[in-house]
Amino acid sequence: MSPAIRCVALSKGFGAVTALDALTLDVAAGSIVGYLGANGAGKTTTIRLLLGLLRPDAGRVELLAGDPTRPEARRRVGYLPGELRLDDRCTGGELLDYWGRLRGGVDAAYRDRLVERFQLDPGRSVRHLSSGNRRKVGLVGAFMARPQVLVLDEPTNGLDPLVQAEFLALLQEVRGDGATVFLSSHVLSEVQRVADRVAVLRRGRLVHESTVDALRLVARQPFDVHFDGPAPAAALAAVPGLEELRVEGHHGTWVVTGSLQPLLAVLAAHPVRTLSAPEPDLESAVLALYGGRGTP
Amino acid sequence: MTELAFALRRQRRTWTVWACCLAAYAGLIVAEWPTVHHGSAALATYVHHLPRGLAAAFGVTTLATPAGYLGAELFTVVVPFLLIAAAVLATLGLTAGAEDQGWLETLLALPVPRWRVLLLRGAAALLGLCGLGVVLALVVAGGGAAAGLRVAPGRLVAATLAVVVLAALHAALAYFGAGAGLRRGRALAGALGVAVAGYAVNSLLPLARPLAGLAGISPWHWTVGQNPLQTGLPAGGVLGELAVAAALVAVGTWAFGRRDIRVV
Repeated sequence: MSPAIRCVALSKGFGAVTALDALTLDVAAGSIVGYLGANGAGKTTTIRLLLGLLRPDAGRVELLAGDPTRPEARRRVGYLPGELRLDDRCTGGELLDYWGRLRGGVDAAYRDRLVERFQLDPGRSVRHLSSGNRRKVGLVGAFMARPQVLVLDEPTNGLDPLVQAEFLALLQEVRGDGATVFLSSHVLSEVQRVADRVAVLRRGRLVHESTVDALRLVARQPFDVHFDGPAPAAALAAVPGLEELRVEGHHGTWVVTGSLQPLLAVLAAHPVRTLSAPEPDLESAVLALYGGRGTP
Repeated sequence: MTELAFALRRQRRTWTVWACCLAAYAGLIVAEWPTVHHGSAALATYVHHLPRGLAAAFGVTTLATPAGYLGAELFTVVVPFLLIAAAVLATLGLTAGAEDQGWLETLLALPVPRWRVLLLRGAAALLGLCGLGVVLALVVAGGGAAAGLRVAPGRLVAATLAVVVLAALHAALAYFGAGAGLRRGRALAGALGVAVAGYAVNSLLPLARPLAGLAGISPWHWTVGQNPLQTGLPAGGVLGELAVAAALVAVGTWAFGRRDIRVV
């Protein structure tokens, strides 16, 4: 089966700035992919290329095996921009009607259920909506045609926790229906909860692409250990990938990146009384890929 | 047609305000006719003593006849500029202005061709402009009948058509700028700059005899400059301007389909 989204050596620059540099990425049909990276890493540029809003300088994009600059390739795609701007002379309901008529094939009953689910008042002018309520209009617009592919850029920005939970539940439902979701987000816990795979972008280049679990493996794993005897400071310091070592008497703390085998060999040779190693979250994994800094 | 209906509905208030302003101004001019007509002998003397070129520059060839009066007061300067401003602002509001605001991003991600979105938005502005033309003709015809200001219906339609086409040409220029990727402010400055320059070339160059022949480069010269209230429809000028407008729209639409949509 061909991937729902395919980027091949995709590049895009704005003047002297290279926003995206030879991105090659496949998104399998029916999966949820979290697209991660710091501000300015090139996530939104990728998404705008996926939707045909930007033209690539080099490489190509395929959306459901079609060219996204052609309308027919976007027919089964729902999109929520990160910077959602809505025509403020309209009500939310008017915009949803307008998008629905342009798109065609929208099940009005399903759209109304989404409106109810997100507690959106469609009769209110966009001008008077809070950013969270505007986002709800965008979410209903993205989901209402039951698209085969959803491209969502920071979808929960400005949403209250209840609506965020509703959104995540909806995401699971559409995944169950076989939809593909390309989810760009800063909220790593959210990605961790729903995504099958993650792709991490740094300065326009793909630096990691794997399952969520595999990404956790590149995370900095913290350890907090009490030994029966004095902590083996010299042996620990010699362990490859071990950093931030602090030793005080029988107690030691550190973080390890990469294979744990050398560390386990040291621990096996020195009686351990207690050991604590909390599971690293996605945030620490991404930070590890960024070298601990949040630069794009 | 969804796009056309949306664009028209979105600007209905704007067009209503323009139509009211135009109707009020045209109505006022028409209502003043009896007073002007009664003092026509004095006005004729005044106009007679104006330098011929200066009088022609402002369309004041004669104020004693209905056609001369309407030409001078409505169809030479004020109404063309009003219609140009309305058409250019409406066109840019729906195109470059909407893009500046980021409103096109969600829209153009839908399965709808870019060319259709832009073209139908341009068509909505053109329909609004035609509506202003109808309001203008009706106010002048109706008010004129009440005030004793009689012009041949065919000539009134010709003069109205001439100003509408001139405004449409400038709106097409703005459309071209929007399609090519200019922001609203630049496209507005370009279109209004061409309007002012075109008026100046048509009206002021003839004052300097060696440059008089250059007036022909002004779009104003091809249509309103032919004084259609007195001479009838300048068919060649109207068709020429429509052809240039169509070319601008075609190139603007083509360019819009091939470029990046601006990031807000």
